[in-house]
Amino acid sequence: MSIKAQFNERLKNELGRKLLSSPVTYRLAREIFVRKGNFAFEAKKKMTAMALEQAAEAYQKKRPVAWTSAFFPTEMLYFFDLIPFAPEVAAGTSAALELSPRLIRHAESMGLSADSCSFHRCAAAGTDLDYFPHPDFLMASAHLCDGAPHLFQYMARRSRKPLYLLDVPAGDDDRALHYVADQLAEIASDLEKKRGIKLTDDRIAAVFEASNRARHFRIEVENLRTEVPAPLNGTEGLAYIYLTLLGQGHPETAAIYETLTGELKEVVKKNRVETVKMDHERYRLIWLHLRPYYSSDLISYLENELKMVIAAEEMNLVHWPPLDPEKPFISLARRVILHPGLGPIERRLKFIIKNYHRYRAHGVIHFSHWGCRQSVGSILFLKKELQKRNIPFLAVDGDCIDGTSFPWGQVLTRIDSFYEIMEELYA
Amino acid sequence: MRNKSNKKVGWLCTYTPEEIIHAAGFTPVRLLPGSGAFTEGSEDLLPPNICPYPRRILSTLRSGILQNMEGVVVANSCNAMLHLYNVLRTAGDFFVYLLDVPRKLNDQAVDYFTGELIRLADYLGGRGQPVTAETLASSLSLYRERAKYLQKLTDLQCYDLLLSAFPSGYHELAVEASGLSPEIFTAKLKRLVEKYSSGCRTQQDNRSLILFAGGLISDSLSRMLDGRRELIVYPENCSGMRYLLKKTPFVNPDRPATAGELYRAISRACLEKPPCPRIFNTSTREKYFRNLLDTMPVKGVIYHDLIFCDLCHYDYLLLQDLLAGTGIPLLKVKTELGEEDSGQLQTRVEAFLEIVSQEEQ
Ligand code: SF4
Ligand code: SF4
Repeated sequence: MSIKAQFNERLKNELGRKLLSSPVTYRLAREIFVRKGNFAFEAKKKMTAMALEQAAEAYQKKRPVAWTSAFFPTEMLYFFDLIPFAPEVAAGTSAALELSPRLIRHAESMGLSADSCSFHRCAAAGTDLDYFPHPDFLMASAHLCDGAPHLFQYMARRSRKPLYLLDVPAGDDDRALHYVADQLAEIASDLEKKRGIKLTDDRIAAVFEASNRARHFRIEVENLRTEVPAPLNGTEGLAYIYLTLLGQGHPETAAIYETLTGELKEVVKKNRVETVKMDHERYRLIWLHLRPYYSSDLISYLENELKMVIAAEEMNLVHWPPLDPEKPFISLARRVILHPGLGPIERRLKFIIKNYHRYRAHGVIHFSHWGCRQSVGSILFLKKELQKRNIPFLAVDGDCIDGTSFPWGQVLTRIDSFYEIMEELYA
Repeated sequence: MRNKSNKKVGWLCTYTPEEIIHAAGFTPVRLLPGSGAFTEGSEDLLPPNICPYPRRILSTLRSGILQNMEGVVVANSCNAMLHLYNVLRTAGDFFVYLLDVPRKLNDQAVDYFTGELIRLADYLGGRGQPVTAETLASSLSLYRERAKYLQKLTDLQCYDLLLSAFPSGYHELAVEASGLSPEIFTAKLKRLVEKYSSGCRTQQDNRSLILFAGGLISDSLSRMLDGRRELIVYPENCSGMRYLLKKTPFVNPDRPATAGELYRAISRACLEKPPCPRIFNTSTREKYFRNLLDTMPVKGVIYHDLIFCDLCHYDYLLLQDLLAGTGIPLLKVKTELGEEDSGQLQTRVEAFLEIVSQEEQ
């Protein structure tokens, strides 16, 4: 049995909860997986170390912990020296560690509908079973989905800790901008009191500098990924979503993207001098939404068997201008309201088409996570609109967390037919 | 002002201000799921794992069942409604307007929503008649008059009076109120209340009350509880009390308000209506439920956990917490707003009511 398998096996028994809640586990995992693991890129190794360190710090409660939902601007946490913990990310980890079936069953016994997002069902169950580091604050945003802020209300009732909710409108005009900025200012002013930390210009400048530097290297990474063949595939690329969710404003995030930029430059250089360089890339894809977090052959089948390489992931792309330390809340609010997944669907459609061309892609795949109303609700519209523009589109029905309800056979058939369409179109 | 127009504008979410649609010269008509297994014709636009309410409305509108529909105001109340807005624009020959509704209840939210209402009025005014302080004040007066009679009929002591005209109770009252012009409907209520004002009890009505909470319901689900005069069925949902108890701002005839003041008052009244599960302030919905449980003789709670409504799914957890230790039985029912499972559901509902009545004895 491999070390990883042994580790997973341990977690499933009653010791599992204790093991998971111990900072020692994460430090140990860092030793085992980071030092000894095989990483194609140094950047990913650094990111894994950062994630494990953040988890260890949260369980150790070195400083107060803030639970955040996806896309809540984490700069707000770093302003006040809070340790971020994302229950939705923890749900993803629980799937990778094969704990999610137990959590999903527990969520059902709590009365939470099986129709809701499985990220959220696992996160609710993890809260109820006391799997997570105890929060001092909770922060959730209505960015994309209806579920997250309400899940956080449930968690706040359980933990009896202050909850900050960010109401994000569908519009992107000045009124919407100020509505969001005012809420952020109010949250900051309350955190100043509760943390006893004054939000000085220096603090803002330091956090924004880290955030902007990360943004700068992210754009460099994006530009490098437009190269044919792709210097970074989706198997690797999809992992960096962690930094979007928990790393914005953290100096290590900028360092990771800087490392990745350097590494990708090398790959591009090497690819340029190699003669048979298209061997591993027959078609290029834009990937929408997330991926399965349990062990699944989906991405490797696409990339390694069919040579359909993911050139870019919707969730990783920079959509906002640099943050201005002179206007901290307006800047953060701008990033919030400019999210392409917000508001009328044309915004997302435009973003997809723009990146389809930018990355010289041949098709678009949407991983349709069953419980996600936000992303799944628009697939039929997207399909029609993309087909009108002769952009091949495939929606793969699945679930990011619960691998049991979606037969791999059916998924395979659909992917194979999509591949055939590509062959007809481009071969 | 009397709105003689038979040009209708559809709306769906109870955070939508009917008064503004009316002031623009249209008859506001709520689009409700009704009954029947009718989602055909929506499969190519909305996937099946989206709330059935917008899917049903999409089928209805697409099939042209609703005549004279000039347009639809879709409130951005949840993901499902936003998706409905996205696809409805491709579905027929009517305008579709997206109204952004905040999820918070504070002053900033009232400000933001006021701006949204002004935009809505401009848009509708351009398609109907311009909305001015006068037309708005006059529509508000009409709705206030309607609210006065609704208040009377929603008094628990007037439950028999209500049933005499609306055998399906509050649900039927809400469906009619939201589907007819305020002029016609208020006239009907006025006749009823004035003619039968003695139909209200003078003393506390000590019948048991079933709190019907959660997502909006179909007519068939409502009918399952019909004809039980030994019980008061109190649908707190948005096809019931959360709509009927919505307040209309007062317009002082002696001091004409500016349009800006009126929009702000409407904005506040809409956001402060009995809260839906979508509302953000953690304590708002909790206080509202506590108040219902403390002030009414609630003997059982049926929660409609509407399929694919995330807001209901979490709201149920809240109510479950609040009921823990109270001894009040709770039944969760899940539907797709159609007739699909009505046989099995009916059996469960009856068994539950049986338990409630036994506990009482
Ligand atoms: S997958 Fe969708 S529903 Fe789930 S957390 Fe993400 S946006 Fe929300
Ligand atoms: S029932 Fe729930 S999901 Fe459906 S439209 Fe209403 S709030 Fe949205």
